[in-house]
Amino acid sequence: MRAPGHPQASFAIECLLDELASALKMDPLELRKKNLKDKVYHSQLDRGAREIGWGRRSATPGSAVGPLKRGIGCSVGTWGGGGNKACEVDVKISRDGAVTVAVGTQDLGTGTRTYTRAIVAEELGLGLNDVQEKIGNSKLGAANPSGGSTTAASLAPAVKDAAFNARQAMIEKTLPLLGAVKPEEITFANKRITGGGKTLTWKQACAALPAAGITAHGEWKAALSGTGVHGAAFAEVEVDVETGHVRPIKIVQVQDVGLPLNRLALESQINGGIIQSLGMGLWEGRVMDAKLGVQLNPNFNDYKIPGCLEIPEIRVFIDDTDTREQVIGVGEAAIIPALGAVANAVYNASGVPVRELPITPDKILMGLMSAGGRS
Amino acid sequence: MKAFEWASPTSVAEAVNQLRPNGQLADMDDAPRPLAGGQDLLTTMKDYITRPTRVVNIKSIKGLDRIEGDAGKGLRIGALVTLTQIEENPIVRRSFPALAEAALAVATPQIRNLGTVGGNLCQRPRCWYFRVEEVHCLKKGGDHCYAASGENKYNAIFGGGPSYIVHPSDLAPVLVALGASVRAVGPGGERTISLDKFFTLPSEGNVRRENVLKDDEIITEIQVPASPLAARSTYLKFKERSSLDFALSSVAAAIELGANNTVKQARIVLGGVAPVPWRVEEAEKFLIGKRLDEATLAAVANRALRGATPLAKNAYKVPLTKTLVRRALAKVGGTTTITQPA
Repeated sequence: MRAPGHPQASFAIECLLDELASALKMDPLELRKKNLKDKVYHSQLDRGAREIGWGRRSATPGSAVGPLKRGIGCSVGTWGGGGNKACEVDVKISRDGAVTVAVGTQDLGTGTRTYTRAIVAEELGLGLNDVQEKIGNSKLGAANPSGGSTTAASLAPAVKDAAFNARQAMIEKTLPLLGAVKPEEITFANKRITGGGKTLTWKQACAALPAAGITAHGEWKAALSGTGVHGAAFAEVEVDVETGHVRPIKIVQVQDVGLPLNRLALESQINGGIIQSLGMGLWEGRVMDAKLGVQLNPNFNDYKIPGCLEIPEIRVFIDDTDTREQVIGVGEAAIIPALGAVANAVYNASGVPVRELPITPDKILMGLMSAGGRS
Repeated sequence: MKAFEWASPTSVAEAVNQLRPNGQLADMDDAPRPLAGGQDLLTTMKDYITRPTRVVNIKSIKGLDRIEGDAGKGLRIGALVTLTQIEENPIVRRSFPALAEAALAVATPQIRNLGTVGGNLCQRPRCWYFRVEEVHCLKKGGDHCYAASGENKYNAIFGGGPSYIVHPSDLAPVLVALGASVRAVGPGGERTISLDKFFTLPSEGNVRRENVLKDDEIITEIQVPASPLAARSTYLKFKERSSLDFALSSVAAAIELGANNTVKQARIVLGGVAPVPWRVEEAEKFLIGKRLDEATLAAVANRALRGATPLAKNAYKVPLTKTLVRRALAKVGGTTTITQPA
C-alpha cells in the first residue's frame, strides 16, 4: 500500500494517452507537453527524455525486426503530500554537553531517525554523533500517524522549531560569556559557539547551563512544510514477442521533492518506489476466485514480487529546479509514474496495448494473437 | 502445522518400516512422509495439505548423496543428491547438459542447496486451488476440480481431467527424455520403475497422487542410461519471473544427429503443460531423417502442440510452448542464438 489509487489511475490515464498518440500519429512526449499546463512537467519530461535516449524510440509500436523487440515509454505522476499540525518535539541540552531530541513518531524505514538527528545537529553546529534521538514512544510527545507521506512534512518542521528554540536558549545562556555581540551575530559551527571575538567549545558553553540544562519545545510551522510534487518516469524494456516475456532494461525517474532532507536516503526511497511500481506493472496481482471468494495467491510464492533478476538499471534524478525550502514527503510520490512508463514501453516494443495489470506474458501473447493471427 | 512424530532412521529398511502408519488413518494425506530437503513437504504441512502423523528424516541415511558414472556408463544419482550438486557436477554439465540446465532452472540457490532429486520428482502440484488451505478440491479428497472452470492460467492444456494440475518438476521432463528410471524400496523389496511409467495421469491413476509410488516406498536412486541423445540435450524453461518461478511451460529436447546433420533420433518432452511430463512421440518421429531448418522447426512445433485443449485462461501456452520447442531444437541442433526464454 503506497499511494493507494494513484499508480492505478496513473497507469490507466498514461496508457490511454499513448494509445491516443499512436492513433494521432503523434509523439507521446509531445502529446503530453501540449496538454500539461504546468511547466515543471515539461522540464522533467525533457530531462528524462535525454537520460533514456528518447530519440532512439521507434515511432511505430512493434516495428522492430526479430522476436526480441525494444521499446521506450514515458509517464508522469502527481502527488500532494504535505504535513499537518500534529507533532510536539523537545530538544534537551545537558550541562555535560549531551543533546537529545524526543519525538513521538516512529521510523518506518524512511529515515526518520536520521533526519531528526541531523536537523538538530545542523542547527547547533554539531556532528551527527553529538545528538541522540529518542523515537517510537507515544510518551515522547504528540505525533501524527505515518500515512499519506505526511510524517516528514509534519515532523521535520517541529524538529527544526525545537532545535531553533534550543539554539536561542543557548544564546541567552552563553551571551554573558562572550564579548560584546548582538545575539543574531553568534554562530554555531564545528562544535563551537563564536561571537564578539571569543569562541567557546560546545562543552565550555554547556558547562555554563543551569543544573537542569535546557529543554526547548517545538511545534509544526506551516511555512516549513509544502505540498504538491510532479514526477516523470521513462522506461526501456525488451519484449520477446514469441514468449511474451518482458525484460526491463532501464528506468529513469525525475522527481521534485521540495527540500531534500537526505539525498542518499531520498534516492534510495525513489529506487524502492520504482521497483514496487515495476512489480505492480509486470508481476503483482491479487487473484480471487469469483465463486469461492477466496484469494488464490495469498503468499509470496504465488503473489510474485520482483527479485534480483527482474531489476533493471535505475537512475533517479532529484529535480533541483525545485527551490522550495519546504519539506514534502515523497514516499508515495515515488511509486506513481514508473508503471505507466513500463506499460507504454511494452506497448511501444510489442504493439500490444495491455490495459489490465499486471502485464504478464499470457496477456501479451493473447494480444499478439488477436492482433496479427500469430500462433 | 499438525503435531507429528519424528523418526531419524539410518537405513533404508528402517525408513520404510517407519513409513508404515500406526493404525487406521483418517485420510491418505495423514500418512507418514519421508523428509529429505523438505522444500516442498514443509510448505504442504504448513497449509495442512499434508498432515503426516510421522515425519521420517531420511537425510541421516548414508550413501544416497552421490552422483556416480559418466557418459559411457550412464549416471546413478542418489535420491538425496541436491539440485546444486547436479548443477555443479562437471560430468553432468558436459555429458548430460539438459539435466544440469534443469537443476539450475529450479527456484533459488537457497532452495537448490537443500532440495533433492528425489524430492523434486515427488513434489506436489502448484495448482492454486490445491495449495490454498480453504479449498477442498478433488486432489484433496473433494469432489470438484475448481481449476477446470476457475482461475486456470497455469493449468493443463494436455492430459487434463478430472484434475487439471500440471506437474511442477523441472528435472522430470529431462529425465523422461533421457530414458531414466527410479529405484524404489518398499516393504516388499526393491523395484525399478521407468520414469515414463512413474508419473500418472489423473484419469488413469489415483487422482490424489501424481505417481505410482506407494506411501511406504521411498526412491533411493535415479538411473540415467548412457545414451547417444544425452550430449545434445537441453532444457528450456519459461518463467514469468526469472528470479524464482515454476514453469509456465518448458521443453526438454534431446537429439542424435546422423549423416548430413539429419536427425537420427529425438526426444521431446513438455513440462508445465500436463499432469505428467508430456512426451510428444509424433513430433519426435516427424524429425527423423530431417535437417533442423526453419521450416522443420516450425512444423515440428505445430505437431508437438497438436491436440492441445486449452482451458479458458491458458490458451497462451500453445504459442508459448511452440516457441520453446523451436528454440530448444534449434539449440541442440546448433542453429540459433536465442536460447533463454526468460
